[in-house]
This record gives sequence, structure tokens and C-alpha cells, in this order.
Amino acid sequence: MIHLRDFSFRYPASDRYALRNVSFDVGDREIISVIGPSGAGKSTLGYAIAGLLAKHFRGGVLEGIVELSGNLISADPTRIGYVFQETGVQLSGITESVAEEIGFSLEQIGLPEGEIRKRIDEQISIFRLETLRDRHPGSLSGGESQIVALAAEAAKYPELFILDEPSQALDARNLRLLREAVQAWRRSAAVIIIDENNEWLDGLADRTLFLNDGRQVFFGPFQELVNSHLDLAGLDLPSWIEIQRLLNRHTVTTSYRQSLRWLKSFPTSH
Amino acid sequence: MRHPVHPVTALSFVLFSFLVALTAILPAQIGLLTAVGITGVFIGEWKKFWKRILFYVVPLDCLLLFVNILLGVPSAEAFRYAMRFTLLVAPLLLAVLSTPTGRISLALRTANVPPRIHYLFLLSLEMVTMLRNQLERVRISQQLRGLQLGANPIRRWISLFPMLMPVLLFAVSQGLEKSMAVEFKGLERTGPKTYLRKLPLAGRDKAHLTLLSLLSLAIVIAWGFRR
Repeated sequence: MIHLRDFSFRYPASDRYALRNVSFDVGDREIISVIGPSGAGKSTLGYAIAGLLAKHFRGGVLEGIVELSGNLISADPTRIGYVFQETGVQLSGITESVAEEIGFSLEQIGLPEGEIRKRIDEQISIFRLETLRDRHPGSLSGGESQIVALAAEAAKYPELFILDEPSQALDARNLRLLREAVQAWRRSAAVIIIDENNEWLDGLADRTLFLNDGRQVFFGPFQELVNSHLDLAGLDLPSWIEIQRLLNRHTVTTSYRQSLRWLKSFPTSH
Repeated sequence: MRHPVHPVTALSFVLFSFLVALTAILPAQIGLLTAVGITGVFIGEWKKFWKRILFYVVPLDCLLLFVNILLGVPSAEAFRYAMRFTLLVAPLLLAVLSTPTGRISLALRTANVPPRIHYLFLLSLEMVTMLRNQLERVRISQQLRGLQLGANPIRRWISLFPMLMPVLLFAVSQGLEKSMAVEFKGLERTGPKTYLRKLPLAGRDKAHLTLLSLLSLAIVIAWGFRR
């Protein structure tokens, strides 16, 4: 579905490449997690896949190929659902209720009224937003805004989701809902999740892309990253991955959940 | 929040005030400012309105007056410039505070205003709120680092200047991400759109619009005669 080949990008007025020679493919119903330290180029990669770089960063240097289903990529709201890192910018700012916010994109796409109402009800039920339905989006907390933004993008039924740090403002309950939603989306869409601290993705993502300083360090099944003897010294791996790598290396456990169980099995000392 | 007038009526009033500011007919300007002042007492957000007038518009008026006098402009003329500035800002403030942004947006969308113009207008309104909130955050963090402001309004106003650059940089970065987010909302799409909510003009709004049209015509004619 997504095809990236030797992709590099440099922002206008910058002498440093934000991404350099990134190459990978994403299948039709695949979930990909993108990890890496701050400034590694994760968000830039999201913009690239969504077709935003050429339009919004004119004067930047763009090399290589990015294709979506065989076509050169363009920011098409009917095909791509994008949830941005900053919750403040995600909501339209011009609707008067959560239900209206969820249906806003669908109104712009011009779907029939009945279909829009059906999809609003569906997303409200999936994300348990019944109590927020009539609330003004401006009065929502960060976590609530984030979940409404996710529901609004999901209502478009896109063929590709790009979620940039979606777990940032979510509590445990909403994180569980997001996990369930991502599992449901994969029946009809590909999902790219950019998240620095992504324990919640354990066992969910099919493959993981690890970026560091704009370069692709690893792309493959997450367990391979954990089990591999890749020399990742000097790279800022999230601590939960470091712990798992250590435990796996000593063949104590083989997955993050097993590692957690193993650690919890120790008696608490006082 | 009360919705006393249709957004189209509110925006027409803003355009009318721009026309009055442009024509520089003193009695019309004084009359309109009086009308704005009286209306400002009765809107739901009257406290916010007057606070903004006193805290932002009046100081900027004084600054404008001062700069013009410094540049050698006769004081009566300088006073008119300041009044013209108030005429451009106060009615807009009145319209924005008494009409929720969502309703303004809906009215513009259903009136088939080109998406780019529509969103430019709304983004400007949102930016004002965003800048104000960010300014408040920066001010609080500076106070936590030891900045003493007290209750003195002049001191508070002067304190804004060193904060302007970080706040503007924040606005630029937010504006960029906002414009990208809007792209995925489909606002720029051409072709047929669906509206779950519609805002028909009430009889009262039609009467207001007729009155504003007649007043505009009268002012344009009076302006023509003066010239």
C-alpha cells in the first residue's frame, strides 16, 4: 500500500536532513509502529506519508519516492485519517458539539445526512463518548480532545491512519479504547503509529520502524528488534525496550508482557 | 451564551462600521461608536468586551495618538485616526464576542463563501484566542520565575512586549500544524457538501440587514456630496 524508496527530506533553511534514505513498504492491513528519540524525524515521516511536505514546506529538499497504492501521495482526506501530535490544533475549532465535530469532515466530503448521523453514532459508541456528545469541543480536556479527534478521523473510514503520538494525553481507559479501535481499523485499513513510549503497542504492531537522527536503524517485526544483537549502543531506546532486550538476552522472557509478569512475580521488599 | 443576532447580520454590521470608518464622516463615526458602546453593555459577554476595550483598544488608541502627534500630525487629525482604529476593532470585537465562532463558520459555509477566505477569517479569530492563551501561559511562567507585576495595569501592559517574540513563534508553529490538520478535515474540498445544521435568517435579521443597507446607502451618498 505504502511504498517509500530512498526517501530524504531537508526542511527549508535547514542544513541538516530530517530524514535520510528511508525505505520501507507497508501492506494493506498492516500496523506499523514508528519509534525513536525526539528529533529522530518521526513526525516528518508522518507528514511525508500523508503528502504534506511538498505543499506546506515549500523550498524544502525532497528526494526519493513515496507512493500510496501505486499513486504519488497527496493529502486526500477521504483516504487518509491523520491525528496530529498537538491536540490543540486537531479539532476544527468551529463546531459547537462533539457530535458535530465528529461529523464535520463527513459534511465537507458531502456524504448523505443519514450516513453522517449513522457514523457519528457509531464512533460515539466505539469511543464511549455518550456523556460528551453535546459538550462544546472547546471545553474538553486534552485527553478528551484527543479521543474526539481519533473518533472524527475514524468516521471517515480512511484506508490509511497516521497517528502521531496518540497516547500522549490518554489515560489507561482511553488507551485501552484506542488499542481496541486500532485492532478494529486493521480489518480495512493500514495504521501507522508514531509513538515514542509505545508499550501500549506491544503485540499490536506487525512491524516496527526505528529511526534515529533521520536514519532508518531497524525495520521489521518488533520481537526481532528486541531479540536482535544489533548494536544499538549510544541510541536512546525507550527504557521499556532496553529492559526487554536485557531480559531476552538472558533468555528470561521473550515478550514485554512476559517481562512484566516476570518482574511482578518478585516479592515486594520493605 | 445568548445568540441575539444571525452571524450574517453581525458580520454585516462589522462591514458597515468599516464603511463608516473609511468615509470619515464625524457625526456618523460618533453615532456608531455610541451605538457600539450601548450594545456592548447588553451582550452576554459584556465584561469580556469592556475588559478588552480598556486593556487593549484604549492603550493602542493612546499609542496611535502619541505617535501621530510625535510625527507632527495635528492633534484633531490624530484623534480621528485613533477613533478610526476603534471603529475598525470594537464592532468586530462585539460581533465575535456575541456570536459563537461555530455559528459564524456555519453561516459562511452555508453562504458558499470560498473555503480559503472562510478559513482565513476563522483562523485569524482562533489565532487571537490562541495568542492570548499562550501570552497568559508565558506570563504565569515568568511570574513563577520571579517577574513582579502587581495590579498595576500599565506595568502589566508593558510586560507584554518582551513576551511577544516567543508567543509569535509559537503562533507560527501552531498555525502551520493547524493548516495541515484542516487539510484532513476536507474544508478545502470543492464539490457538494452536506450541512447537518442550517441557520436561516429570522425576520428580525432581515429587518436589521435592510436597515444596515439603507444606512450604508445614506452614508455613501453623504460621503459623495462632501467630496
